[in-house]
Amino acid sequence: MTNAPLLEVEHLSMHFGGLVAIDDLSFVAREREITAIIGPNGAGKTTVFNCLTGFYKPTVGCLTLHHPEGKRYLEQMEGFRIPRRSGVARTFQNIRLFPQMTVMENLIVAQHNMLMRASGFSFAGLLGLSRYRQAEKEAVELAKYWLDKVGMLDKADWDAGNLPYGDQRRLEIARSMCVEPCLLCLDEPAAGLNPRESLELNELLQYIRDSHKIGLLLIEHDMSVVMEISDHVVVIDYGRKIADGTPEEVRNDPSVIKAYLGEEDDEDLPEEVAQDLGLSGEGAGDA
Amino acid sequence: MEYFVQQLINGLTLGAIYGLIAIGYTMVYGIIGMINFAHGEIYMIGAFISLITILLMGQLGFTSIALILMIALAMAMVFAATYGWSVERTSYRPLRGAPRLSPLISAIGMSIFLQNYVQLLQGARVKPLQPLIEGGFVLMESDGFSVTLSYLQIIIILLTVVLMVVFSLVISRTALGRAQRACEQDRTMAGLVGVNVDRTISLTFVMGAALAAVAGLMVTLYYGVIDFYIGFLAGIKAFTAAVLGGIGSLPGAMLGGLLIGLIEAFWSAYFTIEYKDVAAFSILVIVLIFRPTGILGKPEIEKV
Amino acid sequence: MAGEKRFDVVGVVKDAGLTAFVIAALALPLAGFRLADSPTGLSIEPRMMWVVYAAAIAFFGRLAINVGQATLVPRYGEKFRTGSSHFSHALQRYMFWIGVMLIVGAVILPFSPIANRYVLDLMIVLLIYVMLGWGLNIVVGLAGLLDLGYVAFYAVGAYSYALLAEHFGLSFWICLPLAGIFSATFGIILGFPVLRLRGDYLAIVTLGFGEIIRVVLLNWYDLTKGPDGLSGIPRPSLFGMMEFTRRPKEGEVAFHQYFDIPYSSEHRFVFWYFLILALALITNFVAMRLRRLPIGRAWEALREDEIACRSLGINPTNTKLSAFAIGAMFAGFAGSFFATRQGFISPESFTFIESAIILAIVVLGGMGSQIGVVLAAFVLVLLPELIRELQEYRMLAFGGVMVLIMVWRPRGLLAFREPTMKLYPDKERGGEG
Repeated sequence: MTNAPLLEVEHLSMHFGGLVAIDDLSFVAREREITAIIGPNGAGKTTVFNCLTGFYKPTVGCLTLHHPEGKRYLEQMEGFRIPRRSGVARTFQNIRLFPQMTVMENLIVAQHNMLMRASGFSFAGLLGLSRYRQAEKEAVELAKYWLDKVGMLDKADWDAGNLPYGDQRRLEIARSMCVEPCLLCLDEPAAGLNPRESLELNELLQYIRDSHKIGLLLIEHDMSVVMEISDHVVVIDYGRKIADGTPEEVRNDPSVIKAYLGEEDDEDLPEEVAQDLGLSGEGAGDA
Repeated sequence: MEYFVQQLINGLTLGAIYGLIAIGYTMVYGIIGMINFAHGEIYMIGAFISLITILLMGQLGFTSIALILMIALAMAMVFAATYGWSVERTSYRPLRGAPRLSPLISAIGMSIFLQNYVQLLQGARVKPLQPLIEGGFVLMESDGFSVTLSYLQIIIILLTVVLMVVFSLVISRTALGRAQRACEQDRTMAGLVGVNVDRTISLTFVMGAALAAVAGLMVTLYYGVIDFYIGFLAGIKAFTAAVLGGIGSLPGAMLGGLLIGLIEAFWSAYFTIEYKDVAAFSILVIVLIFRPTGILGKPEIEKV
Repeated sequence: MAGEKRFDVVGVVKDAGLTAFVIAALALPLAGFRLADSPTGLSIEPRMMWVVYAAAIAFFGRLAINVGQATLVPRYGEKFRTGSSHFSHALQRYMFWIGVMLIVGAVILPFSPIANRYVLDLMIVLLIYVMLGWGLNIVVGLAGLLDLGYVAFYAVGAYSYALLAEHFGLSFWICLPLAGIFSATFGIILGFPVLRLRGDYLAIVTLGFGEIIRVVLLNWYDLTKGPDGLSGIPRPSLFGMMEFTRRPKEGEVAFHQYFDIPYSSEHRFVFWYFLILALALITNFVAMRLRRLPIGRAWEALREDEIACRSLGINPTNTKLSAFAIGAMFAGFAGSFFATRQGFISPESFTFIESAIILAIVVLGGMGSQIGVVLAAFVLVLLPELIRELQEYRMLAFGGVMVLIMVWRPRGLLAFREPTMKLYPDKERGGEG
């Protein structure tokens, strides 16, 4: 039984003047699945994210999100409305936390819209009405829940800017989950993580997929993450889709190999690379 | 028609003066990303030094106007450059890594300090100067109104053009110019490849100050009266000009200056003189709403 | 080793000499010569001794600093540093109690022996600036929006009250909220054009806005009487019930009559003092409260990273406009108070320098620090007043102090951010660095 489609990208193109960053890209990301977007550097992956989350206006294309409350057309929505109305949350390649605010505060800010409504646009809050205090308590509970899941409960009062790198990445993910999204977009979440941290990341993402039943969209270079946990892989090169399928299918697709490595024979592949891609070539061990 | 042409000439002259000051703002903003609030006071100091030199030369018995002016130009440029250098060394360099607002407050403080410094040393009254260069061409005439292009105006515009050309060449052809552009784009990297960042920044301030001093001399000759407060208003307008033309762009600064000069001239002539200072601001606001990077500025692409 | 301990005498003297040379060069044209009035216009009078003095002061001053650095710092530097870091940690912890003490002190001040009209007047001036500082802190400190034209909202508040009182005869207590609304509206009007601007661009446009308001006030004679200003602004009564005059109007009861005490003009001053104290404290409390509400956090988040805010569903436009509006509102309240206390206002009181002073108070105090604002206001506003004899040098010192404090303490005098919530309130602040 296939999962219902969550995000449908249809004929997306993004032109910057004469430069074609994305060319007629179409794919479907489903609920309860981890969809990975991979491709060489400069292929346009982050541009796709920026189109999905309202930072760029697509030149052409339809981006349909199947929200529980109805379809949302992301290409028409203003940036900040997308998390609010469409439940799309994202993390950034270069980590964008609020460095002078504490870990807790970062997570509470993520629940801004819910809290704003509860505070009566600040008036109920100013008067100290219980409606707001209750909502704030719930927000703290949600924050604690995610802090626990990423293993940072003891650092709740640290300034976000003082956290070590790995913690900052996890905090960003926790913060995105506090938005209570239905689609979580992660831009290179494994960048700079050591193997142990990558493993923990895998567990976290799988947990999110299985327990919260949302869809995840992942840009990644780290193949150990991609191949381990993705249900579905989309490969982009020069802004165009060159492969779309399960990790196994993509792994063996010759055009994918060509895009990453150029026109080489399999025998010339260094052993580790061949192993990573799961190829059996001369001298390479079992995939 | 004649009235219009006269305003055009007046506006361009005024604009040239603003442009020279604006170049200082744009170069400094380009290289360290902050508004040098005290730049207007450097212009004012240049004006005072010009005046003092001119009067001193006269008192010492020099009679050749050309010689007096050249010495005044040299003195103003040298001393104003020293002031510019000192301001950078004391008020900005120590704050290079500090949060955004700190150098701005320091700059405002230095601006207030310099204004009052001159006021205390030279008195608060306006300082007049008899016209040194008189006469000009009559371009056209009708109904008793003649359009004149004075010699002084020609000198101002010519000198400005020459300085523009010289500085553009410096920026594009010399090692200093290259070093400046490198620092503008990536200061850390520039330092790592061997550029002396501190010296480059200091030289930028010095160059900007020298140009402001020239503007100061021009305004002393053109308007014949200066006081310690002229720096503030001219400074704001010149910065407006720099932003209008596109911050970081040398031709932009001059273009912005000319535009502000023209706007001011035409506004005072055809509307009311009271609100002329406000006209420039309003133009700035409108431009920044629709084209935040200015006319010749490069659009800033934010990497997400 | 003896060779290492001895400092470089030649180097230090050379350095001092260089400093003296630069100072002499700077002083030569402007201090060495004076533009004096003479029958034929201006003439130049030499004043070379001033240059010599300046060079001498520079030489010995620099020498002293260098020597101090070379000898005292290695010996006491470490102790000083740990000492001052302990001091600021202790300060942080007891900040709340320090605040309470200041408030208590402020309340009992009028009843203390040192209180007289002069002292109260001084404190009233201080409190106006403190209130303005707390208001601007919302815009600059919390939301990170560089506003160099804050005085415009102050002016709007003052003129609103004056005009409403004159044309509609409304009392101070009704005009106060109205003035706040007018100022808040202007805050939004200013906010719109600057939404997409960052940093210094924003600063220059807000500066322009302040100047525009001042020029309009100066020239729109029909409305504002231009440079002549508005006078005869009515004084406030005690919540509309009692007047503070010697001879009240028909049917009205005067303050001193009601309490059966002899009339004293001091009563009015004490009332003003408590009025501005109340207004300022309300400003502070509201700001601190808003900081703990979603809107305050959104302001701070916006200051930290606008793109991240958008990705969390925060509307940057509304957030910025609300900061401008609320900050402007408090300036409007302060303006009304100013108008009623002076009885007379003119555009002269609303120049760019005022904006600069208020901004300096916020930044020097340490952005986000409420008590820092009080401290900075004291240094920048009160101290000059107390050194009356040096009135001439007041602005000069003001500019110099601004530069010195920024260079010495770029983040402000008391710059620490108190988190709006703690999961573990009893633990010490943690984190590396």
